[in-house]
Amino acid sequence: MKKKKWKKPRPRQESLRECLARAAEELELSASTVLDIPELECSPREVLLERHHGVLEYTDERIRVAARDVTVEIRGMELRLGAMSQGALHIRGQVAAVEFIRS
Amino acid sequence: MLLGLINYVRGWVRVEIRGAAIERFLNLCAQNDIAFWDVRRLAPDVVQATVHIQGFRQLRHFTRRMMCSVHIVKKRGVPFYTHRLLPRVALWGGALVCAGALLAATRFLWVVDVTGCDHTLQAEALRLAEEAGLRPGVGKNKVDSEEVRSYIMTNSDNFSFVAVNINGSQAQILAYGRKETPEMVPVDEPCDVVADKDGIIESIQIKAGLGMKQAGDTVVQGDILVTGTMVSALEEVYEVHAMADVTLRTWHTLEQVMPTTVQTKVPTGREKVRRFLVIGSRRIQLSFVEKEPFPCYDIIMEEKQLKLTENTPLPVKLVTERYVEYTPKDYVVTQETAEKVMEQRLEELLELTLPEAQVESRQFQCQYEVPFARSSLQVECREQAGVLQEVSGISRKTTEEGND
Repeated sequence: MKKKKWKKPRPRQESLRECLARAAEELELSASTVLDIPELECSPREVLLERHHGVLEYTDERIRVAARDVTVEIRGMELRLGAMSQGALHIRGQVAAVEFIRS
Repeated sequence: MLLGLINYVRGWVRVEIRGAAIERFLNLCAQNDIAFWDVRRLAPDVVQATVHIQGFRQLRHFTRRMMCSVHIVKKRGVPFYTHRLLPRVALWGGALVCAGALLAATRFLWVVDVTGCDHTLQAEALRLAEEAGLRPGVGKNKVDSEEVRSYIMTNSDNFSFVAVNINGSQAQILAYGRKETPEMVPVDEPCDVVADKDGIIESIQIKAGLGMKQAGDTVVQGDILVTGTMVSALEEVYEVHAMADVTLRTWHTLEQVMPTTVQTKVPTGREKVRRFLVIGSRRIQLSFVEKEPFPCYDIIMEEKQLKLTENTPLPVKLVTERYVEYTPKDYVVTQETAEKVMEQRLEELLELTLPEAQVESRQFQCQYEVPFARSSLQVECREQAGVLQEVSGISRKTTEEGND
């Protein structure tokens, strides 16, 4: 019986995103800019979300926003879209909670 | 605030979006670079949002795709007003004419102002400036400020400094009057020190020359205090420039008379106001008041130069004339009031007539009689005395006689 030649396992190939993340880390850049990760600024009266992918649900009590790898859910009262553009989303109202849901 | 102003200038439309997939519609708009703000959900299938005019024009392309309907609720902004006013040719024409008139008005000088000197010199400076071509209504390019300055300085000896500044439609002449300097006797010329007022010499310090008076002597105006003619031990006569510091004790009496009954004006509270515009030499009445509105009245005039900016006056003046009615009433001045008023007036007169005198003592007297009250102020002062005067013939003659 022919003995199978042992092969050294090849290291797992790094994905492009991982490469970019590492490069950003090396260059001391914000990874969220390079990797299109949403950035969120939050206060009890307003939420500013950058790099979103669109609104999924919009009611007075809950707003769900799509972003890369996650869905951002904002809960509260009297919520409304203060402004919306291609890159940013501004939500006003009484913010009770902000949740990231990994898809 | 600033963002609101920018949005107002750009123009915005408040729209009501109705449909089943409003979120998708909003996402599609955002992806296509249609920014919107103040989104409010009115019902599960109704949303109100505000967009710019450009965004609103693009919205209709997506309404069909998303099966939504869009209705205008409100529209505001400069483009809408402009669109509404666009057919009004007369309005635009008027605005254009106004802008042209303003532009033309800024090419001329409308105000010529003189500062830095008293009214007499101001009038003289204005007259000379007018002769040099600087007057209200003249074109700015026709005025050479340096030339005007030179003309004023050349044609008058009353100014020590003149500057002509042109700011916008306003020309400002800064003129300083020349102060009269006392006639000085050159240091190398022989002279005497002569008393210029009456009094008793309190102190005398001779720096050059021969003292003719000493402390405690009484002098009258014109007396030689220090002579510049000197005689040496060898009886040689020579002349020097006499110098001395002389302090005199002087006495002055100032008098004042005032009537004990004066006529006062008691305002009745009624007044009428007449306003008119003055354009060049023309007057345009804005409100009408009869020629003699009241039996007794005062006219208070206020003149206001209309200005576009601080340095851009318009050739228009707004004049306000207030006719204030009063009733004449005789008022008897009491002795106390008369004394107070006259004492104050005499103090002012003293300050005016003897500005450099050091007052040692004063005595005020008032004699109250109908119909006039008389008062006098006697002051004892300490004053610097002595003026230089060329060596007088009398002194020289006396010295020569003495030599003989």
